[in-house]
Amino acid sequence: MSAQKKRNFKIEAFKHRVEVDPKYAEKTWKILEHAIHEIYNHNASGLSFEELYRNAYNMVLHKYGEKLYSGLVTTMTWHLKEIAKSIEAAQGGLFLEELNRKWGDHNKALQMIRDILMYMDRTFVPSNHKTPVHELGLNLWRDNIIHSHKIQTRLLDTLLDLIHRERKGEVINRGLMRNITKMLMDLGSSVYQEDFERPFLEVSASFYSGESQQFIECCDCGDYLKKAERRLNEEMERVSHYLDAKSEAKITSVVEKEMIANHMQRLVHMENSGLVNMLVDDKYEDLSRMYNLFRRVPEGFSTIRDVMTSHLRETGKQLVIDPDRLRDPVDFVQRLLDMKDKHDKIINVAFNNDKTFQNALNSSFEYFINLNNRSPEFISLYVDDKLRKGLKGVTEEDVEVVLDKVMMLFRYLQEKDVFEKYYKQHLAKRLLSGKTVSDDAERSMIVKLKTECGYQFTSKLEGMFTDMRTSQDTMQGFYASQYSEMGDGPTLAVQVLTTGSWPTQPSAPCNLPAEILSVCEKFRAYYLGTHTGRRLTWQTNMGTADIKATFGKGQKHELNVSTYQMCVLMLFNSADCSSYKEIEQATEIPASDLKRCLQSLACVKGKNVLRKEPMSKDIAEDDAFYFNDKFTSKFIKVKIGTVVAQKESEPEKHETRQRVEEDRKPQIEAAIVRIMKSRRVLDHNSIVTEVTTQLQSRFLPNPVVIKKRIESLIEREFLERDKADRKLYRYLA
Amino acid sequence: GEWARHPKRKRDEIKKDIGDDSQSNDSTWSMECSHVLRVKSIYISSAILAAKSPFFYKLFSNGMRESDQRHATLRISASEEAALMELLSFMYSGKLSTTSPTHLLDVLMAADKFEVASCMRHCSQVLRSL
Repeated sequence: MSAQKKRNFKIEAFKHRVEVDPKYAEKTWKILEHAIHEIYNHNASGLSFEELYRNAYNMVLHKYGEKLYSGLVTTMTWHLKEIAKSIEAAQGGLFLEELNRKWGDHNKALQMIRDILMYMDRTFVPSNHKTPVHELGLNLWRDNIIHSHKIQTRLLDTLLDLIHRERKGEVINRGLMRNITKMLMDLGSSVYQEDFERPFLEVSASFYSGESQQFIECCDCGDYLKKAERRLNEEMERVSHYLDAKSEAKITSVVEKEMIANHMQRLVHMENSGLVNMLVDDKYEDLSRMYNLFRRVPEGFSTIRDVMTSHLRETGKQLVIDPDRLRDPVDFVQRLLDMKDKHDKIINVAFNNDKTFQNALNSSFEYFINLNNRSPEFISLYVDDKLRKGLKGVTEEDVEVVLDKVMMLFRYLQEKDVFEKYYKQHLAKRLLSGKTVSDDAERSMIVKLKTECGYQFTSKLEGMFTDMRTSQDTMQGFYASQYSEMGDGPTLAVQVLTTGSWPTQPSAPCNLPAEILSVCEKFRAYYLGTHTGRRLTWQTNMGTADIKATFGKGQKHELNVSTYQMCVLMLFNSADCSSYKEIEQATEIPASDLKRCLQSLACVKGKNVLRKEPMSKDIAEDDAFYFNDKFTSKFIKVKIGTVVAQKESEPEKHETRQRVEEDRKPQIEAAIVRIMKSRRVLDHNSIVTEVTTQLQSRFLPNPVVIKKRIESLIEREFLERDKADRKLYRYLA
Repeated sequence: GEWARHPKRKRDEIKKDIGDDSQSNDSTWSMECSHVLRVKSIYISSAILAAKSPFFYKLFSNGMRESDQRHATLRISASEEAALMELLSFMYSGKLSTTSPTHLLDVLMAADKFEVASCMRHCSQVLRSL
């Protein structure tokens, strides 16, 4: 409710004189029509914009908008039909140029026409739902020129022919192509797509289908890929020069399908040049090209990956099961490492460090390394070799690199506990014989194992290092206390090994020579005097001795021998000849050890400080042995090794295996109890699965063994079978 | 008007032919056959006009006769003269001197003819608030 007083004020509609003489309208239109002709005839500069605008304005203002609009359509259509004729008449190669020129003219004319009809465009067109002048001009061009019967197919054929010629290596007028495709785009994306792009893609597909067929018959894989890559680049370049940017994805997908996807299997498996050959020959460039091309098509990656994986598995398998390779464990592992390095580099350089490829490489190694159950032993031997001598003169960083590589192989092992067993044995030998080159390297390896497998895995290994340190202190203490009484007797170096930390085999001690025995007894007294409640046993099978010997012509040598060998040699201080039986009786060395020991003293050329009768390679129970006073050597120090295989012999291997199996039993039982304690009731298969999961970081437990452990636990009343369901177990707390 | 006294601006001369439209008070429909009553020259900045009106922008630039001329000619009927002067003044100053509804309507009409959007808005605002 308004309280305001309003002045009466009326706004009236403009009174247009609609009844004006139609002759005026006709006359005005004639002026405009003439102007449109003049514009198309390039005479626009003589026309007055003001006059034409005013006339068009007046027509609209006086309700002659419809006459003006339809007049425009008629006049423009007439001109376009004339233009069509002139384009149709263009000869051969001039056709596109004429079309392009006329298109330019039409655009200029259309612009001016729109200018003079600006008022109509702004008022009459929207209120009467007409097409705006500019769009109208494009539509009329499309209908009268592009879709004119005689032009439409000729235009398409010309465009496709030029592209074909360019593909064949001819130089074409790209600027002209650009203008024409731009025209089609200006006419609307449907015009570009229907009148050009779709047929272009169809023709391209058949072109590349044919070409790829031809290439694949005559090129090797590498050359084919080069050609495909070049074609792909050419098409992308074509798009950037004269096609709609949106066409790129479409045309590249045509090339990808025709040149790559359709021939993928044939390419990777091409004889003498396919993927496997590229891998074998380290063809980084070709591999990289294959990767980059195949990545563009569905299943491209998996195709490469699958072929690479089966190649790796096959080569790896051949490597690990080759009986020749088993003779040299260090070489065996070195080959594995080289194989890993080689393929790491390929994945890094050619396959963009692709995670899925790395995973395929890892799973392949995991697969074949575990095909050979000696892999854990060999890997440990490789480390042993490196830590004994292999790393001399190598920088700390390089040591780390080698150890890291070994750890990588270690990670592939399923039976990590077997590795641990061997590692312990090899480490013990290194430590006791003083053969480790670098303490830092040893420790670094232990740290790596600890990081990988946890404290439990390495605690015993660390215990061995502690024993070595403690033993040094103990010996210093011993000699300090005995200094006055030692005299000329033999020097003793004892390493006190904690039971359980070391891989000692229980063996009956041999009879030591009296001289040694007395020093040993002194040490025992000293040690037990300072450490109450301990027990010492002598591991005579593990010791070494340096002894001085004088031969026939008075020449002196220092012999480096094992404790067993020392015991044998000492017998010859009191007798020149001794039979096998006598030696066995006097020393009580176990027969197998004694034979090996005598073999190394009597049967190795250059080390034969004993002479055997009869002369032969092997030791028999009725052999006799003589002190060889004709022994000569150009060295003062002579090291007499025991004949031992570095690698384990079959029975030893069997023994180690058994010990490993024995060690696994309590671990499996512990896992079962842990699981049952929290789950209370569980069926057989679930237990097997969970135990496997819990233990797989160390080894892969055998389901049969798990079953046996469950049965043992039932016997000992940790578990019971469910009365109703025999597959179900209950935990008895 | 005031706009004519700014000598520092670049000017184009606009001549106005004022036609005899005695038969009509709101239209120039029949002027093609009418006499030119008088010609008035105005010195005015084409840049300002072009900035405010697409009509003037095209007049000075679209490649037709006027684009090359220093003297563009607008033909209007006598009844439009006051409104056009007011419109030109508005394009310079953004202000209108008239408040009479009839005159405002004439100015609105002229603004619509030459597509001076700012003036059309201004006129209809003033008219609505009357």
